[in-house]
Amino acid sequence: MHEYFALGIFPFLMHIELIHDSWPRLTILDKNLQMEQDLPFQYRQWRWERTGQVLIACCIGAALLGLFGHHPLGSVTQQTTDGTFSIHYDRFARVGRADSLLMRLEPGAQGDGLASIWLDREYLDALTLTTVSPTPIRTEARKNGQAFIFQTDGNPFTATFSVQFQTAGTARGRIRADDGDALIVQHFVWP
Amino acid sequence: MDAIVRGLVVYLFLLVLFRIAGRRTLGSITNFDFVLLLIISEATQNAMIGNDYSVTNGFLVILTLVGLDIAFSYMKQQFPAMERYLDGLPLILVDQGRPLKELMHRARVDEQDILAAAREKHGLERMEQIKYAILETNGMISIVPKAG
Repeated sequence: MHEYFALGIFPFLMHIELIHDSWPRLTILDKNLQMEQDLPFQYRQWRWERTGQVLIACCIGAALLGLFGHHPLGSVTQQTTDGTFSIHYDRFARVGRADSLLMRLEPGAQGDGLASIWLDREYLDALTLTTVSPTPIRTEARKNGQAFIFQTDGNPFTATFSVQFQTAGTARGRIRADDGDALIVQHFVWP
Repeated sequence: MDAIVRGLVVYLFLLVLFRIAGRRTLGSITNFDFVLLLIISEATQNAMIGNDYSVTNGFLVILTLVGLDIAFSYMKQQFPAMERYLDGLPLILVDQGRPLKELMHRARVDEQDILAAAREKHGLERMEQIKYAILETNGMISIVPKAG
């Protein structure tokens, strides 16, 4: 008895066999044909192929849903409890590919004409900072991390940090504006 | 080290992928298969080389791929059971002029594919003239015509 499970995603996945108890077994009885044929083995191979094809479909589906990064559903925005500092970033990144962290500081998170964004050392070690826009007026080594100081005009201020992750796995770090609360950012970096 | 790991991972990934895809995927090179092959080679090149465009890196990747190919051929010779899993086994699709539809359906081969192979290789005109049609491990269809 054959049961068919229609996925309806790709034509090649239209028929997935779930029960294999009574698959036909064919025996070719011709001694002139010197050939190795093993139908039970072949049916097992096809079963593995079908399983693999389902896995391929799952991977494509996961990529469409943002599991492998650079996707609207994979991005996240975090903000401090008072809402003065927020970070927008991708939860999933890939080694060597350019990613960006968008940081927004409301006037309450800025000092007197200056805004400072601090990233901790653990996070900075996991990535290469390619560009910071706008260009900070200076950087300072501070509290086991690095602070980027920007000139502001008192309006809401946005800075973009372009980064490249260096190693696969989880990258975690803390970022804060001035001396406010630190936000914890975490990425999963695909190889 | 990095180049060797990249070459190894990409080689094994493609090996598994093409086993999953089935032997008919690149068995006969149609226009679409040719395009697929070109795109895959371009994508794998980036995955293997990364940002290192040096001659040394290129050599290391090539050496890894050729080395793996040689290693697999030795292993297949030593362990015949392994060959079954890596390459699969041939499969009879037409027996004494009778198409084995269940097997053909599963192997994604239709009667037109078999008749085309029969015309191309032996100038045969009809299914009844075929003694055996066999789907080989490389995805090609070989034809044994009936005597006379």
